[in-house]
Amino acid sequence: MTRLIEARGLSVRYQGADVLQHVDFQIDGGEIVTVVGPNGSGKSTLMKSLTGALQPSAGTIARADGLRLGYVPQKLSLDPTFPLTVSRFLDLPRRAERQERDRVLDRLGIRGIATRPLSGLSGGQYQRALLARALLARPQLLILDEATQGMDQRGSADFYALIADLRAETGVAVLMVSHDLHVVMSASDRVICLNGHVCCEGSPEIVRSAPEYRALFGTGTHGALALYRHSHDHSHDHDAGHHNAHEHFREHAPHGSEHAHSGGPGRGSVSHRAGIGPDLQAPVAETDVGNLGKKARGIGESPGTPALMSSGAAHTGCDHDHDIYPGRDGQRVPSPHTRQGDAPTGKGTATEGSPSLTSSAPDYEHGKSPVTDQAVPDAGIPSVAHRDDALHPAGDVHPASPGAAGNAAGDRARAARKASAKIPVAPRSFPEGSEP
Amino acid sequence: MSGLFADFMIRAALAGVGVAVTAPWLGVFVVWRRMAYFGDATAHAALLGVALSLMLHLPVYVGVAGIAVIMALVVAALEDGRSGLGTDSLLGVLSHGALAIGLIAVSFLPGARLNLEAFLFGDILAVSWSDVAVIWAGAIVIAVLVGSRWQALLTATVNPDLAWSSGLNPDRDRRILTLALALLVALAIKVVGALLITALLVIPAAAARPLSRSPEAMLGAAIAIGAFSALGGLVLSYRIDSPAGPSVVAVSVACFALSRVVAGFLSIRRV
Repeated sequence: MTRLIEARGLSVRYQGADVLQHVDFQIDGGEIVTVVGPNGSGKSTLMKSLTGALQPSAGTIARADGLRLGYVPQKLSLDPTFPLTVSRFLDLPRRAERQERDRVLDRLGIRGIATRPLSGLSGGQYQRALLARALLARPQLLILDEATQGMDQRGSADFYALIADLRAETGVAVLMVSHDLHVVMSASDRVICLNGHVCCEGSPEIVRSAPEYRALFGTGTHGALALYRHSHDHSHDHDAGHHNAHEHFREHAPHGSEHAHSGGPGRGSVSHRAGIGPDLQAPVAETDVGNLGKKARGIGESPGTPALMSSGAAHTGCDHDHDIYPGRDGQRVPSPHTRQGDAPTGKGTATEGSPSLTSSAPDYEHGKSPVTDQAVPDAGIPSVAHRDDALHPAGDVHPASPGAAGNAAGDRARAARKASAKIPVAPRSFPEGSEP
Repeated sequence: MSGLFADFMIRAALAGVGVAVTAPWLGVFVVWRRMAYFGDATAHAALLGVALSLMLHLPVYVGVAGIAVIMALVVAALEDGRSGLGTDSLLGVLSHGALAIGLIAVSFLPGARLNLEAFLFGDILAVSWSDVAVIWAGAIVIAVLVGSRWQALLTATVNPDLAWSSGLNPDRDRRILTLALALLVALAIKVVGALLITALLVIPAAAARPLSRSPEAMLGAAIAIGAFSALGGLVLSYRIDSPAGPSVVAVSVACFALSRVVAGFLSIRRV
């Protein structure tokens, strides 16, 4: 596989602040990589560094020789005094062959808008016009910066399906940015959680390939069901309340990449007073169909659910070993711990770039856990407890919940207590604007 | 019409048209990128350049261009947000600061003091043939500079990150634009004066906007409107004995109003 871009030890200062610190990143030909993280986590800074718009203050960025980038910005700073039709826009910065231009417009289904002013397009057309311009450069790497912002869920899903198709057709690598876990597409080969540093990185689970999901949701759920595997096993002192991502970031800034490591998974650490210990597998998010508001709230209030991830690591989400299974679009995701004994043996921390979990997807229907991370006996709260928590997010999540009491051994109960201890913190740390 | 009269009118017309057709190359970007204040700051600094030139016995063009470049660099250096002021406030400080200091500097030069009005509002009827030559040479330089970076400048105007990802360097292109602007200020100071240079940048481009559906059309229309304004202003100045520089600007404002009205009547769809 051709390496397209590789960053090593990348640190970037922007307007006097250390926005990125010691970031290692690489993307190979044909890969789809999604970067998620809260607002202000350095996602855009990373993109700007990769395109060359920002110079690193430390570290290196190596690009493949003659690398062709196709960049799809979040929006254009188009002044209303700037007359620009779609077709003129497509000629920037290089004039496109008319035939080639029509081919791309046809492929994206926007042939009819070529003569329209760019500023008069709908969200979906606009995004496709930006994409068309990027494709005309015959890119080896497409960079999409929150490309679906302002689009509805259907539109986003269609757009991501299109991206996946384009990758399949042309072999273009795709690097996407999102502040929202829920729009992470299932076709991602790799997901990187960023919050100033790379919090975690791994392969999302392609659950929609499982027959029972197709049966439940049809084949149209080009959804964002992703598995997060937190590969860090370091620990941080969480004594100070984490009210926002930046606080988290600053607190860890002095550590650099050399975070203090706890004794390893399963040993717990007193410093994790307000968080899930590294020995916990995060539970499952179960969400109500079509009830996004509730979903967001529920996520925020139930331990270990995607809020941890989308709130960035504002809390423990960024720092500890746990897997997160977001249910998107009301998909009900079974607990990965339904039968912990059957879970495939742990592979240790996630290996970046390898979709190692894909093969376990069919196991879902048999109730087996696809989780391969960490030692199973330490793998956290029993499933029943999780499901209760998730279904009644605002409810009492006492450590002595039926599941924990009924099934768990002593250390699991302790783990559950740890989990519940952080419940009041999670909603506070949910950053503004990250709610779907 | 005596031969002498015809001669200075021809020089005035050539100088005026030369500046008026050059300004839109930068004027469209001033409008698209909202750099009007930046144009003001650079132009106002020109007065300081005039004083400096007279003190050092340099050609006015050299002093004005030099000071304009320095001003542009100062603005660019302070513009990155660390000053804690908005860009418009910052430019307001620099622009009027430069104007005030320039006025003080000129007041210490006995000869120049008499000509203050000429530096502020231009004295197009006093241009020499060498001025005309300098103006048209500068006009060609500016058109070539901007024309050669046209696509890159448009891309960066749409979105700087688009330009970066296409292997362009928007920072460098912006410096080219800034240098060209300083050069234009130097060319225009004798024609319209320090206070009205921004008018030549902004008004023809703004007047061209409702008539254009592409960046190139807008540039072309702005050039045409600029040339018409220069000639029309001179004629007006001759007929009613008004100051030439302000007359040129007044005609361009009339064009602006007319284009808005026409666009309104024809309901030309705004692109």
